[in-house]
Amino acid sequence: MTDAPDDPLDPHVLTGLDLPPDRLREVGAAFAEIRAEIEKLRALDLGDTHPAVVFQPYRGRR
Amino acid sequence: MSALDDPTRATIGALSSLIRDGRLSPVDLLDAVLHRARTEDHRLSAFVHLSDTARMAAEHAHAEIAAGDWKGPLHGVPIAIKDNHTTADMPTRAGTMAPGIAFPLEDAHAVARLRAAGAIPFAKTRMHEFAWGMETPPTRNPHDLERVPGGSSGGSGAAVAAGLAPAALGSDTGGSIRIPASLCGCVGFKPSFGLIGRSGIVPHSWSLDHAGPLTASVGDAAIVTKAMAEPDPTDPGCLGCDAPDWHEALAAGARGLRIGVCRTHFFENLVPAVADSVEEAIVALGRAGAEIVEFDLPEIGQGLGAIFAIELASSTNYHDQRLRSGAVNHFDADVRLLVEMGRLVSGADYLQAERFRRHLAERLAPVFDQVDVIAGPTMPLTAWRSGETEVRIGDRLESIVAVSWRLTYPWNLLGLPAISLPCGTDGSGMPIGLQIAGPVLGEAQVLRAAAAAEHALGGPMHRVASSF
Repeated sequence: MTDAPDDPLDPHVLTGLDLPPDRLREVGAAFAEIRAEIEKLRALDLGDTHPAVVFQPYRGRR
Repeated sequence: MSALDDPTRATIGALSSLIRDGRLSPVDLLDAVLHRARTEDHRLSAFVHLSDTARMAAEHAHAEIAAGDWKGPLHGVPIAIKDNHTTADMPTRAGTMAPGIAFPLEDAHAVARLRAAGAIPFAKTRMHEFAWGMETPPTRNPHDLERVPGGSSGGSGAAVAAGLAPAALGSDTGGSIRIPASLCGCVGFKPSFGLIGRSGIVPHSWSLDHAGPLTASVGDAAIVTKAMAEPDPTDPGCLGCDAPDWHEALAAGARGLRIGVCRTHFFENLVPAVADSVEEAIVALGRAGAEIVEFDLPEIGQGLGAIFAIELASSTNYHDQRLRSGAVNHFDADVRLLVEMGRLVSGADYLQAERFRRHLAERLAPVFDQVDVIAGPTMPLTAWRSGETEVRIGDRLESIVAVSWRLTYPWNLLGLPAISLPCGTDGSGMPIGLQIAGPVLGEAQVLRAAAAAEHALGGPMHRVASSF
């Protein structure tokens, strides 16, 4: 699927999507609106806030 | 017209009294519902399957009630089930026609609870494939067949609004119960995260998925929700608590209720008819004795990227083997694209989204010291035409996904109870939804405010007549 399968920056390697280049570009273009929103999210300084979902040791079914 | 004259237009509250008193047989009710489904659904495409065993269940319910064993308000009431809830007597497809995908013939927890309450699952409703979309093709909006019913529980919304089902189950990850409720003109209730167990519901995004009903009235939403809210030991997200009795809350009225209104985000960039109707509903609640409390929380509008990151990553992870095997190539084009896109969300993005959830919850918590509920529009607009992928509101062009989720997603990120109920129509007669949300496990005040609003606005919705 790729001309440079050993290139660590190859989009196929980075995304794990085994798609033809045209399809990969289509996916990337469709992601643009979502990426813009995620960029806003990345820019937020959340200080020391922990994630909402955190690990808890499994205690079996209650 | 009374409930006996046409039971397909009645609320569960009205039907259950007739059934309990022996004036309406569950068999006659089911026959009326099935007749309407068979004669009207070819125009709506709300259902994907009608049960072969429901009539036997109705006969059984009739015998039980005749023998004095009335189980409660759902006994003998037909309920439609969204096609992502597995059922023992009906196939489950989760909206997909892709080959090689099968789900077990066993009742999801929510369905099992309904059966235990005496309800009769009689149909599976059409949904957007794998709950990943807002249009539910080819289901049509009963108010205008050229328009979408919303999604992903679009079949449930269309069926309830058109009187093809007394109530229907839905699921809500970013708004998928409230969106079709708003666009079709019925009530849609997403209770607190984990109040209803989700075992047997095909996952979409584990930390965002909620189960809940679409109904003809706020009271009906309380009845169906209470029946399903019992501990589910196989759902790690289930809170494990029963629902309290909400009768008192439903009858308490608006007097003394503190209704929060946040102009930031929730009232920005709405079509004028939506802004006007929601404003009138809030004024009506004020006239009924509620205290309207304006507040501001700028962070409330900063989370669209968070729900995108969590939902995309989760859905893609759920479908990962299908992505690797190429099975997603058989998905509908829009859903395949979203599943592929999820690979573009990084782990750091996902964790930033999860941190934002906690940040927003911490910022919102003090607001609930000042208000009992928060009210606003469910959707910025009314139902759009089938096939549209973008909509323009004012000078802003938005994708269907973004515009659909804009006002509903905060309550999924936070896991808080939220309801949509009809509060008016636009100039074309398309329904408008009022959204009311509350604190975690604050179902009582949400239902109280919604029931008060419903009363102030003239009572439960009227189902669409057969002329659609």
